[in-house]
Amino acid sequence: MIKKTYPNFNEEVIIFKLKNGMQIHIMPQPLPFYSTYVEVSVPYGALDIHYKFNQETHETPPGTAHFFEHKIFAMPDGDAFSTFSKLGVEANAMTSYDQTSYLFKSTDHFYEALSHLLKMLDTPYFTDENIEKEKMIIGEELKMYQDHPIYSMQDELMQMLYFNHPQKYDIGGTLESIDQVNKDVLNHVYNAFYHPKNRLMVIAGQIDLEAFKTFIKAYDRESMSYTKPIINYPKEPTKLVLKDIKKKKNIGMNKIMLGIKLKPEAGNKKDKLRQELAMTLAMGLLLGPSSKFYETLSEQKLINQSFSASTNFQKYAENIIIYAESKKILKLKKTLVDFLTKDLTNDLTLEAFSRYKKMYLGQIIYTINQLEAKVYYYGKYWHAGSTIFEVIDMLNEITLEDINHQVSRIKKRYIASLIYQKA
Amino acid sequence: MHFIDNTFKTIQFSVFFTTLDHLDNRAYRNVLPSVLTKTNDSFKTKLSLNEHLEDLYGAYFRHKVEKYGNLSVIIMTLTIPHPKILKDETLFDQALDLFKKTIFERDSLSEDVFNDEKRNLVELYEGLKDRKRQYAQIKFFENFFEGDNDRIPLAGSLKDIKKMTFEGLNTYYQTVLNKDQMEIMVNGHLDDVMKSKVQKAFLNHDINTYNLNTSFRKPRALKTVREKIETKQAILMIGYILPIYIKDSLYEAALLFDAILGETPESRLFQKIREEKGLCYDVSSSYDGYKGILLIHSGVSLDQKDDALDAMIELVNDMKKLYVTEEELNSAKSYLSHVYKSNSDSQSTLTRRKFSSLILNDPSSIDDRIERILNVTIDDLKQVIDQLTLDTIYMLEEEND
Repeated sequence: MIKKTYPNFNEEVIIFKLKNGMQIHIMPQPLPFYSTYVEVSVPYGALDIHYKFNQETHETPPGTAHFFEHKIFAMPDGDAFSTFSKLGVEANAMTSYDQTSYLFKSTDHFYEALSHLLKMLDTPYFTDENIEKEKMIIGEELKMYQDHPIYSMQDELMQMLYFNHPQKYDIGGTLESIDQVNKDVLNHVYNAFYHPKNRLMVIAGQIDLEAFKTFIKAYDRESMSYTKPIINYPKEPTKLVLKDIKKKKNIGMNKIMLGIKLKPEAGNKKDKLRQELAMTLAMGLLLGPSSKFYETLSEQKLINQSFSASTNFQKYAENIIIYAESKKILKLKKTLVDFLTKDLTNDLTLEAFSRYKKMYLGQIIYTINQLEAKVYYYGKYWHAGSTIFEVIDMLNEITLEDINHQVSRIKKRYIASLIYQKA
Repeated sequence: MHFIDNTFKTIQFSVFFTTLDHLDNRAYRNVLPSVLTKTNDSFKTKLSLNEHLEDLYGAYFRHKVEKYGNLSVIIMTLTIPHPKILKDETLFDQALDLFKKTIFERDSLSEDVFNDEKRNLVELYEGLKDRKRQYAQIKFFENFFEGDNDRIPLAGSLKDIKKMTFEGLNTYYQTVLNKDQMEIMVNGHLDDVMKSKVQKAFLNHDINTYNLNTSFRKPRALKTVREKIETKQAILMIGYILPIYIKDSLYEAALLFDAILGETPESRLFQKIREEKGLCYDVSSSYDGYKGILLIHSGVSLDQKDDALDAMIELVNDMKKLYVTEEELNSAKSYLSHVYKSNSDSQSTLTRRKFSSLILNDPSSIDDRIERILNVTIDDLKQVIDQLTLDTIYMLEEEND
């Protein structure tokens, strides 16, 4: 058992490393507090389509990680979700590009629920029948997102950005790709990625550490030897697949989504985190509500409250997505592209940068004030080689030169534009 | 003035302005907090106030207008990180000053901000059809709440939004300040010095009594509305009248019925419509004790939309004959007790809960509420289910079908 303290945030993390290889990180919450959150995550997500495991290479259909996340809840004696509900516990799961998480929140029956979660992850139960039924359910989930303009445009935009990288697929895959998922695919994924050595359990909230130790000691067993799979990413050209698409649609407001394809830079896990953080800061400084450019766009009535910009750094695929709805969509596109590709040195001032850092520090405090977000981001940063509490040190190391460097990576020829115009 | 003491890492300053809901005021009530929280007399542009908020470690305003029965409530909250974590001794004073000057002490509102917010709202309405779930809900409410104020969104109708003037907003702001009932709540770990500063800042605060009225019309002959649009999935909303209100003795039983019907993954709707029949990804129910209604909502497969609708109605009809099992009731009790307790760990929910207790004049503790849940019997559930009447069906379906 290792204890780490983060006095700046009044936080401590107690770490257990089990014989079976799983790590458990616990952040106890001072009383009075009712809830306990548990999240088990594996660093296996929608992008991990091509992999080598036990000397063999494998390719799975897009959407497999998400399909697996749905189907691991099937158990020989029924649906695991139901059991969580019967215990009065709220369970959930989510798949992102780079990880899959299973979580529950309890105020009672904590050990029954924890035992059930571990049993569920230790008991793959995939049948032809339950897989076929899940295809219908996930099919409706995909259609629900396709009916949402931001999600459907993002799907289309990613296909304009990427030739080969799995980033071009939606996390849930497509109706066609999920049709290829079967028992063999899911069992193989289970063996390759769900070994306890590949699992991280994060707990936050009310917890009796002595009782927990007794519980986990009874659960822990030596596990079979295991070597993590190697993920392969197809070679991706720097150029775009398609630069511009403009469609007439039966819609109420014009919409634009710009995708800026970035050429990934070299670096280890921490370097990548630092690069992503610097780019996120840069976009906030240039396009956020306290930027002069945002004010100008607003004054010219080019944007409304739908305007957003997000930075997305994945393994070998890095991009920025900007979304807006506007009555003057073509003028907005030109204004955005001209702005992002000019010399922005004067727009990135030291004063704004320092202020923005303060804001980011506040955002970390807001995050750890909410247990669910705290658990999720703790796991996410841990898989990325850090912790949410150490991100602030990284933030302090970032300089204005780092920000300027990130912005200089934006090139006009790598900006794709997808426009939906009112028919 | 209400202080809610706890150990959270942030402090929230909230104000609640309450008055009778009136259609003529809705557009102004909705836009007012948006305009107020974007500037003040010291920071006269959105940009300068945003910069100031960043400087206060990303402090932020959130605002909302809600309805509680016949009452309309404007809620504005300023959240800051706790100054002790940041070791910044000036932060609390700056935040308190900002909260006061932005909402209460100002010579003027910004006409530019008003025009911008008005344009934002108009554009939001113009793009409404593109957000199909939200569109379906608004269209359903138009029909279900026919003849009632709630047929119009809380933001007002598009016509009302377009009609708003800057002069009208200024007048309405004064009305809110002078005539609305006001509650101020500060939620977080405050020492005595901090508390006395807040008390000094908001002197002469009256104790309010609220005239909450919860009522809705009787059921009518079933109304079915089908609307066509370009869509990948049909959106289905079913409205039932359930004339049990938040202060009624069967209120907890109605909550438990809702949990059994469609609030959890173990619920009847989830198990039957999604897990057994595979007709949808999402299906759920929601009960509103201020309005005495129960709604079912789902996005269903286009080619099986009618099967899904029939299955949902049949499922409720079966419950009217066979009611619920003891096992279902016990699970629902565990679930709701858990929700009550876990909500106590959310800072915002604690503030909201405090306000609800004032408006309902019900000082019950969480333990009291859980006890009421645990005391519900199968017979109570039967009485709830017997009062359920199908009233309105709305389906948004593919135009080429």
